[in-house]
Amino acid sequence: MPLAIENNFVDQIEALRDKIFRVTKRLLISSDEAADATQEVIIKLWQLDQNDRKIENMEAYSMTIAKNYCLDRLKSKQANQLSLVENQVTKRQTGLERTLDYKNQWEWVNKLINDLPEKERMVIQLRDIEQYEFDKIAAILDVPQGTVRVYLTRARKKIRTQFLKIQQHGLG
Amino acid sequence: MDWDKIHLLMDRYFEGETTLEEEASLRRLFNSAAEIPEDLKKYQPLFTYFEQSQHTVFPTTKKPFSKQFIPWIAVAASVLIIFAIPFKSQQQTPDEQQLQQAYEELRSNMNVMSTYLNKGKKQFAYLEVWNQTTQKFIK
Repeated sequence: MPLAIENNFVDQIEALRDKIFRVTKRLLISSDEAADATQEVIIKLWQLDQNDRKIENMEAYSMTIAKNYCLDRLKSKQANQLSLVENQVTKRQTGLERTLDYKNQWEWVNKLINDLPEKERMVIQLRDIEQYEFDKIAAILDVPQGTVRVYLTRARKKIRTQFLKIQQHGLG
Repeated sequence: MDWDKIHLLMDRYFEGETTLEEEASLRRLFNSAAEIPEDLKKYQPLFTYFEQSQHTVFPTTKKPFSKQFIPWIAVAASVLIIFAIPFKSQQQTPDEQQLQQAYEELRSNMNVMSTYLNKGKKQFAYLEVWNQTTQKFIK
């Protein structure tokens, strides 16, 4: 196989690694789990057929693989238990009684987003953090664009409600 | 700054109606040093969170192999040095000339061996031709 193509492929994967990690972390919550998942996704990309490696939209494709892998992981009991433990830890750290300093604010938002249902969480990650257009998100999640918009609107409204809630309690 | 416009933009943002460009401008605004009115300021953590989360990278600090073995590599190296020093000084005692002679002898032997090896290798060339011709028939 030509070395140039091989190198190109390695570069491509290298560039995608952080993105894959962020998306898997959003779904799996635990950093360790996300790091393992990222490796698995990269192995899956590596095992692609020579022809498939030239897929123009390698980025969207890797996101789809990452999403599917994480959803499978989440179905298994083990992953559920781990994320539960992690959630409890963050809950303890961000007691609403405390004034929200900078670090607490970050953790509060993080928890707020991670408490959303998986699909809404994924849409927020892909839109607000990875900044993808709707057609790309639709392709990654394998749903119509309209559905992506529904998830996004639902997620953002929930986020707004939470922000209004802490304001009412005189915090923030 | 036209804050009425920003308010409208925020409403559209929470309805999921903003474009990527509009969302980028909101992120820039909330992450800038601009004085943000009180009623909008509460949303600032959301956009600083988005901005920071873009820069999360794959954790590469986790290198269990190299970190775990670095002290042992040092130990192995020092043990090697301790044993090598007396060994080396022993080797220097035999007559240099004798060593040279042994080396020359070895060299000539190797030369003879390599010519035989090369002769043998030439025979393989015929095998290659045989392979090619048989493949024609087998296919």
